[in-house]
Amino acid sequence: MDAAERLRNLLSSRVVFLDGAMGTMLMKRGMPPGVNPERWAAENPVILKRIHRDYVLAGSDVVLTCTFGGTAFRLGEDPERLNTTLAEILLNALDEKAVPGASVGPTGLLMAPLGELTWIDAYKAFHKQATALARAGIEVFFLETFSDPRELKAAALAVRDVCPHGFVSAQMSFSEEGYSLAGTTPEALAILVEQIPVDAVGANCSVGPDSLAAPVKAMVGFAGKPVCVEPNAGMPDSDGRHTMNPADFASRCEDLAWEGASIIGGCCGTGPEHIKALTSMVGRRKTGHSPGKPPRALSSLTRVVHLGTEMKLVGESINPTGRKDLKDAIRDGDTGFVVSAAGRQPRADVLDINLGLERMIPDGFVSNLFAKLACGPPLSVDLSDPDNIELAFRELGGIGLLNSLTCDPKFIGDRIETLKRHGGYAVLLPLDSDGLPENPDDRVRLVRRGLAALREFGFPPRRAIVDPVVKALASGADPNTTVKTLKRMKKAGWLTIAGVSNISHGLPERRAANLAFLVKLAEAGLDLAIVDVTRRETLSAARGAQILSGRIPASGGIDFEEETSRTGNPLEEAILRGDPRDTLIQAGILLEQGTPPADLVERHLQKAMGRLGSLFEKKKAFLPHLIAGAEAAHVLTGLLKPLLETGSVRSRGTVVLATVRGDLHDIGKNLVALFLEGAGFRVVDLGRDVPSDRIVDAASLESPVAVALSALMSSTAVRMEEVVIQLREKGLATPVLIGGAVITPEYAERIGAHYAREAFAAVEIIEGIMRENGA
Amino acid sequence: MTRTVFRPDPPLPLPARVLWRAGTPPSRAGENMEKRAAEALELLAKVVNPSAQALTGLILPGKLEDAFKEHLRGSVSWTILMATLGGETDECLKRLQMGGEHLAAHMFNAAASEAVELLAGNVHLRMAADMQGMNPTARFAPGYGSVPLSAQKNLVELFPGMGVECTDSFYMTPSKTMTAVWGWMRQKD
Repeated sequence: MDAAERLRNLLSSRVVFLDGAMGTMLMKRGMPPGVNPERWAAENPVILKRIHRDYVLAGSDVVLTCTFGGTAFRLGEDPERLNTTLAEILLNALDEKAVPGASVGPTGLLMAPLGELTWIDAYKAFHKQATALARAGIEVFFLETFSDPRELKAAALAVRDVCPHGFVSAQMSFSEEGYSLAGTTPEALAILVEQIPVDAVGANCSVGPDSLAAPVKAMVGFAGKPVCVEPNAGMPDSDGRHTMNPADFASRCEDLAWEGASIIGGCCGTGPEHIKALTSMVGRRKTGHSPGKPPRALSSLTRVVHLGTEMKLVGESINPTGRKDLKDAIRDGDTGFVVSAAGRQPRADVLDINLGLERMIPDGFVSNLFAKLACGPPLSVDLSDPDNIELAFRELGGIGLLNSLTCDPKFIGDRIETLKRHGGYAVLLPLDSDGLPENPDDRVRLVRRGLAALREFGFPPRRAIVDPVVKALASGADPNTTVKTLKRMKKAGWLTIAGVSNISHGLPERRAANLAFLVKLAEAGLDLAIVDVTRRETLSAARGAQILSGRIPASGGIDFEEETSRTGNPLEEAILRGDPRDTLIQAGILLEQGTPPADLVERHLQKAMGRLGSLFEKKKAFLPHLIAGAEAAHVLTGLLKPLLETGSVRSRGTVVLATVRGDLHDIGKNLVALFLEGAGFRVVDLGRDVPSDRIVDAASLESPVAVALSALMSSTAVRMEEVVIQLREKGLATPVLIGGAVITPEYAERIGAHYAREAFAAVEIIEGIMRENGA
Repeated sequence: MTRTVFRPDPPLPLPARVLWRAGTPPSRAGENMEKRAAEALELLAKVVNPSAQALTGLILPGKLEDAFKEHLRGSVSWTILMATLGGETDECLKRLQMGGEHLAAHMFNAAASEAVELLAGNVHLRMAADMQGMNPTARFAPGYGSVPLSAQKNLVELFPGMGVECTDSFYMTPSKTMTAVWGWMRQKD
């Protein structure tokens, strides 16, 4: 069984362990600072072999060559010989105990246009390195620590071309904020890797395991492939050393396994002891990976656009038809002009790039232009020549769109390999050598044949986006044909796209027709609309149509801060925002206008607190937001208390509250008091370290709706049972509510109390108790 | 038994850690809460008076041996650590609460809790770096695993002069104080 097959077998049964850092170990074994690690390691084979063996003994399933900096850009001349030597040392060290693999790192140069490295030069360098490694017997490749997905893609395709059946993992390095140096997120990387011919996706270096949990989770959600992670041994100290100890490293890496990482190793600062602790902590467990159909999305270096939710807008402005200035700029090779025109479409989710007559495009223009556009929104490559399509897709830092393919198998065949290699979606037109059918059903039938042709070429139909075709009114076309075709396509479950402005070609007044047709298509479920995004009315029409058809909620998918500004009630908004100052101002305005103080409590304050609780349940607000809101509510009740007539606002009941004897924690108890008062309860707060008999006396005196107790230590939690027993012995049936870090539902049940998982839950539970008791 | 006294810089966690500890995912906290977390850290930096001491030896003091022996199996030596942020942190928290500044108190409490853990973690790492040829085990404390909470009193007794007391219910004051025990194992050749 070859190495790649062995690794795939391992992955199908359990989490796989990589080795740890090589550079760190070489330095520990005597490598002086400033030397080239690959050359030094090749000159010291005994030391290198020992390091490989130590990792095997520590439990690594996969051990990697010392070839991270193995391209010609780093090694200079004759990189092949060095890569071969280092691969042979590894293969001699392993003796079939572990899977041998190669570490392949970036060239160290910036990709154009920021730097000098072109895609093709990167590809050639990685191809040379991979060839040497493969000839030496390596079939497993870990592409590590890349910061630009274009360079990573060049490396991945080069390695795949050299080793068609090998195992390839494509990995980037992310900062603590979750971005690579090029601005790519783990989600965007996963979306790219899902469609290119590699076996796994991953993150390594830059950060410790704590900061990789979120990237792992994102990649697991979007990749559909196993996720590999190699954290550093923590963040570096002021001397640049990574000093996280093996036990801490291992326990944090266990979290990564829990999040779904399938391959785990170590990067800077780690050594065999970290791997040993890791294998011991994680153990033999099944991977979290389950192959599935990840969500569909387009992406660029820096952005992700999800498909199949609300309608997305594709900017149509880069189209030289009727634009002499654009035509001239393309002819003259002026990429700056085209980039500038692209930049004037900031509201576009995707940019369509049409360069007109392709035989007029000068050499090098396509590569330069698409390299410069890689940072913006995802791109729709509106080109027809297969060579130009390949040049454009090479420069994409993510997943783009090919606009477009007909349903003719030869047309598809000449162009589809680029999409299979670089990833991407294909726009499929219901066109073949017989032209465009006029009947909607015929168009759909033709598209079905086109999808079948794609499948035969090995291209998955779920990566096709179908176009119902918009023909100009001025040509006598019936727009309803397009709408009917679109509806049938949506019914078939396909993603759809349309060039909306085509409807008005040749008409004197284009805007009105374009907007009206956009609304019709949006209502019919269009997924991607190619439109003029520079017009505000276009954006409003798109949004309005979707709200009316229910595709997007009227409030949209907005976050807490937006939620708090949309009630139309300034006092409620101030409380929701947790702004005590504005709460007093808005309350003052309402009082001056003659609003009764009791109304402020019942119609504004309680409504706001109820809304806050609802946002909390929907995970749009969290504990700090509740506290801020309750604080604002508290300030309001303070203002209103002297103004309220006795009995004008009925208290909902009294709650006796205390932290039990021996316990000095009171922050949680104070929050309970705050929330209960905000909800209209009267709170008798006995404080902390309160003897049980004092609590019982207070309950006897106040006739509360409930007694609420807090304890944060196992040594003091026993007092809660004491309180319950004493209450019952005194003949008091008062419900008791308990909470605190060490309290469990089982303990609460055992002692006959109600359990509150968190401070805010106390309000709901007490309300529930009162409902049960008929209050 | 060797006693090491540390004079650490104020341990200030990242605002994201404070937000997590306060109960909100950092990416969804909103600008207001991010600001409040930063304010809490600013306040903490002003009041915190961190100190830490570590005792390292070959044989655990008698009463502690039973409590920790299971967790230190295989270790050739051990370290006991006490780390505290000092009494002024508690006073500041109390002032915020008494003043009705509940959110500020909540954020400050979160920041201080993260800070004392960071302090203990930093000392653990520093000692690991200084101990040539040795690997530390994970840290254990009273109340975790099979270590009884009652061991807290015995640990506190080992650090007179740090201003830390332990109640009969094993609650330590100042409240932002941590104790920990870990073992040292030889690195394999």
